[in-house]
Amino acid sequence: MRAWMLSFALLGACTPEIVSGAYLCGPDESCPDGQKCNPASALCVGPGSVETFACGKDQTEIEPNNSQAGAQVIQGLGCASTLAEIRGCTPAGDADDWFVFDVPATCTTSVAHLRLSSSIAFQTLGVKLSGPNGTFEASETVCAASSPDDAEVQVCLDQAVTPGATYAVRVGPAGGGNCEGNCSYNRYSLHLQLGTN
Amino acid sequence: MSRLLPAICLLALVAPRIARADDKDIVIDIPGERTMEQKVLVGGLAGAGFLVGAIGAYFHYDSSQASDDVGSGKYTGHAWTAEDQALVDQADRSRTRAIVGYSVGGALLIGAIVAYVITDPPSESAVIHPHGRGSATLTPTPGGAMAFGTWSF
Repeated sequence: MRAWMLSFALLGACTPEIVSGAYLCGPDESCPDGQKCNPASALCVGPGSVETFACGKDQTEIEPNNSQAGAQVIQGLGCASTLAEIRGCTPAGDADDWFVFDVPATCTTSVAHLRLSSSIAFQTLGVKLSGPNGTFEASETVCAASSPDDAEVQVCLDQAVTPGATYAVRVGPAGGGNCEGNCSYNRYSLHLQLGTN
Repeated sequence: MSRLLPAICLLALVAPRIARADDKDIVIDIPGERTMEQKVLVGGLAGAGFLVGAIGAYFHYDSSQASDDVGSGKYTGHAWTAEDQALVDQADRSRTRAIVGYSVGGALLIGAIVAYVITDPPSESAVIHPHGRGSATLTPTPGGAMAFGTWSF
C-alpha cells in the first residue's frame, strides 16, 4: 500500500512546477496554464498580479509623432555615426510613430542601418523608411539573429541613403500578434546608425 | 563395541514409539502440485504485471524529464513558446500513461497473487497402517544399527 502511495506521490512531481514570473510572455500573450501575461512587465504571472499595459518611464519617444509632419527628429548622426536609440511605445489607439533624420551632406556614400526590437507578446510592429520624395523606399526584414525564445522579435532594415537628404522612419503595427485586438499595444527600441556600407 | 553402545541407546529411545505406533495409524501429508495451466496463468499474470509496470515506469521517466525541461523555480529570461506548451502536454500525457501503467500492472500483480492463492493445490493425506508389534527390527551393524519395519497404506 505504501508503495502505491509512493508511486502516486512521485507522479505528482511529473506536473511541471513553474513559478510566477519565470517566463516572459509568448506570442499573443501566451503563458503556462494557470498564469496570465502581465502587459506591464511582459512576464507570465499569477492571475492576481496582472496589471494594465503601461509604456514605462524610460521612453525617449516624444508624442505626438503620429504623422510624418509631426515626426520626432533624430539628431547628431555623422557619416559613420554612433548608435542612436529611441525607446518608444505604441499604446492601444496609437497608430504610427514617425521619426526623421538628416544624412550629412559631407558623406560620400552612406547606408542607414535600422533595427527595431519589440516584444513578441503584443502587437507586431514593423518599420519603414521613407525617402526624400515621400514614397516608401524600404521595409524591414527579420534579423538573422532573431529568435522567438528571446521574447523579442527584431526586424532590420539596411538602405543606401543619399547624403544631404532627409529621411523619415515609420514605426507602426505590421498586422497580427494583437491577441485578436486584445493586445494592440507594444513597447519597442529603435536603433539607427549611419555607416559607409 | 564402543559404537554399538549408542545404537543400543537409540533403540531404547525408538522402540517405545514404534510400539505406540502399533496402536495408531501414521498420517502423512503429501503436498499437491499445480497444473501446467495454473502455472502459466500465475506466471503470465505476474510477467504481464511487471511488463506493464515497466512501461508505466518508462512513461513516468518521460513525464519527469519533460517536467524538468519546462519547469522552473526562477526567472528564465525566455518567452513562453509553443514548444514549452508541447512539453507540458507531453508531461501530462505521459503522466496519465504512467498512472494507467502502474494501475494495470499493479492489478495484474495482485491478480497473480490471487491466482497463486486460489490455485494452491490441496495436500493429500496418506494413512500408514503399521503391521503390528514385532514387525520392527533393529540390527546392530559395525559402527551403528539398521532399523526395519513393515507398514501398509
